[in-house]
Amino acid sequence: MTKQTLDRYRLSFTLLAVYCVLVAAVTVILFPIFWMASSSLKPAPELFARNLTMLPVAWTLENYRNVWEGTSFPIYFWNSFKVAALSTLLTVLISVYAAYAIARIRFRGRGAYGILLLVTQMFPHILLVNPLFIIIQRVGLLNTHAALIVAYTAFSLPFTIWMLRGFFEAIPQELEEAAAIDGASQITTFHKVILPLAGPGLAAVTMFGFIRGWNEFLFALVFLQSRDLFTLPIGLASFQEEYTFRWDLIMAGSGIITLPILFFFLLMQRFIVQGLLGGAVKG
Amino acid sequence: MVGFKDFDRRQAVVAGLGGLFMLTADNASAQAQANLTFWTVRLNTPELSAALKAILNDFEAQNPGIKIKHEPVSGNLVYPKFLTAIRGQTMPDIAEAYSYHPLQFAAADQMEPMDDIIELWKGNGLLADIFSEYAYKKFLWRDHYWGVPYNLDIRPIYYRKDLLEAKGLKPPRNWDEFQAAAIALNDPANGVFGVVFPAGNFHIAQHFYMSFMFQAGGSILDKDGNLVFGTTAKDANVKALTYLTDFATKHKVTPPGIASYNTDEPHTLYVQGRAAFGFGTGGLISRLMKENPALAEKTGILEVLEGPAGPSGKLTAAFYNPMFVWKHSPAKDAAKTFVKWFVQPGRLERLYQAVPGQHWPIFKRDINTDRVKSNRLLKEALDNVVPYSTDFAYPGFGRPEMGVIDGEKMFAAPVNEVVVGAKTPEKAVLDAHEAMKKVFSS
Amino acid sequence: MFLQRRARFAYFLVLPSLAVITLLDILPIIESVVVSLQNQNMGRSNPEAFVGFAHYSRALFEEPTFWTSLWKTVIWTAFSVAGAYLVALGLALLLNMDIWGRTLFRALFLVPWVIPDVATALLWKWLYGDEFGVINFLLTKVGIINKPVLWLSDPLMAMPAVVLVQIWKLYPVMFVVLLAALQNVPKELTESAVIDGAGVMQRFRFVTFPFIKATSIILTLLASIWTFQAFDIVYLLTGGGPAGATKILPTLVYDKAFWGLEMGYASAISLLMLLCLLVISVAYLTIYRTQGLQADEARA
Repeated sequence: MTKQTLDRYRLSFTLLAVYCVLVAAVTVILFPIFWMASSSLKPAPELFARNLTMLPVAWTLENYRNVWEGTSFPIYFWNSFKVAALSTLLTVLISVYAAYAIARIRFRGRGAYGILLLVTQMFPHILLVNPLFIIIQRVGLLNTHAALIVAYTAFSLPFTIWMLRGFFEAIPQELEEAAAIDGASQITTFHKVILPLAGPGLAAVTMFGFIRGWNEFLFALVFLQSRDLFTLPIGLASFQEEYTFRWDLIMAGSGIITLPILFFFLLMQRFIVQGLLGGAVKG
Repeated sequence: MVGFKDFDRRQAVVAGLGGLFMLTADNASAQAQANLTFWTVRLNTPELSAALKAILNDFEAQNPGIKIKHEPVSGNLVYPKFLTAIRGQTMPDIAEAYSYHPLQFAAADQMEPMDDIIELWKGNGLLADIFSEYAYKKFLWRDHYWGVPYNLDIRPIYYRKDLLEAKGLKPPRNWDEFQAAAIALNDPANGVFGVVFPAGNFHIAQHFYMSFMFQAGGSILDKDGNLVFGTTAKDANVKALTYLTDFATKHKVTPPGIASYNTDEPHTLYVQGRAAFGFGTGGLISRLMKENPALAEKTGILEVLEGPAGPSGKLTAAFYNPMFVWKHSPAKDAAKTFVKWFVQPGRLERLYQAVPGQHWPIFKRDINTDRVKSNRLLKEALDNVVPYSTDFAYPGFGRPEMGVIDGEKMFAAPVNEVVVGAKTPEKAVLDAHEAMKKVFSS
Repeated sequence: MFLQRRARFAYFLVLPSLAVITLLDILPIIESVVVSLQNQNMGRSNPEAFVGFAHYSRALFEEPTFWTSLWKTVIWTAFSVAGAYLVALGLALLLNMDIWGRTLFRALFLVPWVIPDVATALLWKWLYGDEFGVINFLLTKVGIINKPVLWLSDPLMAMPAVVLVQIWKLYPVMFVVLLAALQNVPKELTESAVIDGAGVMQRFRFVTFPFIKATSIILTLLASIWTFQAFDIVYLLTGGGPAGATKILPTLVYDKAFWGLEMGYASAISLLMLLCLLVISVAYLTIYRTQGLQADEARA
């Protein structure tokens, strides 16, 4: 055997081993999600069978129907969507301009502003929830979605500004200077020249904000009182009653809350990856 | 300088955002009608919600001036919800919640006294029809009634008649017989545990401990409402804790994982035929009927045990749950009209039928119906458990502090700690006493 | 002139974010400092009475709860972050090869990150069950164990169990960042190391790791900050039990504030917690400065 063929054997053996490890890792990591899907499609008695089966024996959508028709899940779903979408919109609007300023303009206090962004990321939410509750109450926004939208925006901003800054920094300065010489105003230059180039960054920030708004639990729990205003995580946690624990409803509810965000993620994952890199590595 | 055009656009953005928030704000409609919000913690499953809705529809049909909005509050989140509601002044008008909530909120000056309703019932004979005076007296604090009972929530022990018979045993009547039977029926080869009870850090764990506490002659309060958990009642309370936890730590006839069990795990194990004795709520009756009717046939409900304290301690934890009206409600009269309508014989029949066993009436004429007598399990619960029902504060009546003690699960902790081997029963009781003392001294 | 105008423009752009952050991040902190110095106990009268540092001294000197919880939080954070880093690094190294399906694997490895915390916690509770949990079922079936592992009922197992969930949740972000950092390692360096006969471990230690060191430090510190204050998963999975085995600081704060109704005491504990986080973040900033420079030198 020549050295070359030996090398090739070794290479394909390594490759095989790598694939085995990768497939094993994916299986282990995604198993919980598979199990959630499988459980949500089982009739209740099968959930507690002594001999568990990986797939449902008698497939059923009954659990989903019970959750969707027997509880207020459709309302929660809409509420979650509304809160997530509006807070994302607000986050993107605010962070785009702020990120551009700290990426491109030297101004007094820029350093302090940067540190502020970093430090506020460290504030434990459990610490904020009480005092924020008092403030929200004072301005009369308790038990409204507006309170959640503003709060989610505030918590996303430090990270999204940081994340977008990286994108703006990557855009060549010359482009902007050329436009400025053409006599366009600063804001027009920004809108017409810079912003379109930061597309992937915007997509990443959008996704980030949306995931956050869709998944948030603690603040929604404390700020919302009326059932009609609840978001999905609160609705899901409510199945965990003190004297009843409906696994059939919990699994289907988990499916309902997870599927849209999973789908959205797989659609946009390329941008997310870029966004995380722009933010975290350069940060 | 920023150009005029840019400024315009920014204004447009600001205006637009303002508009968005307007959309999200609650638009409360101010009508002449009374709109009441009704929070519930134990009428929340799809089945019970549907039954309640039908009842509320009846009410609204008979009382055209009043609209009721039902808002279920998850039992697990109920404290944060009530607390934030008080701080944010977003309370409901009426609520149905845990035993000591009305007194606790009365102490915080949030409750409307219900004396007039009690007076009314005295006059029309309803009060005499409530089968235990404890049911309403527990809401008496500082000369006012702060809530009225609307249901009874029981904590029976279920047992397998077939397994007992196979061993030639009779249903146990006292502690020694119960212990012997649980050990005798433990059958790991067939996956059957002698006894399954919840020992997680949840309310349900302290309910069962409470039953054994009374049976041993112990209690949390004395009859004047003083805390005696770790003082004069200590020996009895330690004895009860030891007796209960021994099933797990010494005799090992429980599932090994009970330290994380809430209500549901014992129920599910029992329904699957994996428990000879199962501790549960009344709701297990309907789960059995629905999920395993064959097993329901072989199931009995144990008569409340006699412990070291003898016949005087033959008691079980059960809860007369309150409805109460918030002082700040703009429509207090309408709220009371609703309570008076709701807590009347016959009104809640739909709830009882939706999930048999979970809710029990408080009126004698409601409980001795064909519906109850024709169902063997309900009948056994009625004969063997209901007459011995009492709760937390026994032998005293209500105190607001019991709300915090219950809320923080201060006597579930000892059960949990002893079962996992973190503390001896004596140490666990004394530590819990210290924690309770802090609540009482404040 | 131009610069001044530019600066003014910048303030204009930054202002909205500054306003939102001040109102919803800074103001609450000030509010909670005030509350921590007041009585603020729902069960007592006169909630706004000034009590000085009474709550702080109770937490620090009178009750052991704060210290035991702090210790548990440190354990929880250290093991979660170390575990997540190792998983992330392993997967990133595997995927740092030109193989078919790389993007697909990358996407799949990121999936746990988007699963909502509430669903994650309930799902793992379901997986961990002693009698009905699929993990115990599978382990028994393949003969690894003959009686169920008490993931959530045994005080010794509960912490590892929640840490495992946090690792599952935390590693994806670390993984994708490390994967990107690995692209900075010049191919020639690795190749020449292979020719020099360096083993896999040596290659990683002397060739690869220096290039991802700065990133790793930043990542682990950021992850520590996130984990230190994480609440949802532990609260929903164990509620701090059994027998207080997983009572980390955020769950302690929540219990004191919302079940015990002691807002003042809860605020004091959470501010002490913030102090710990600030220590971590100062470390973050310092190390970032020095390591950032080193990384630049390495690249140059």
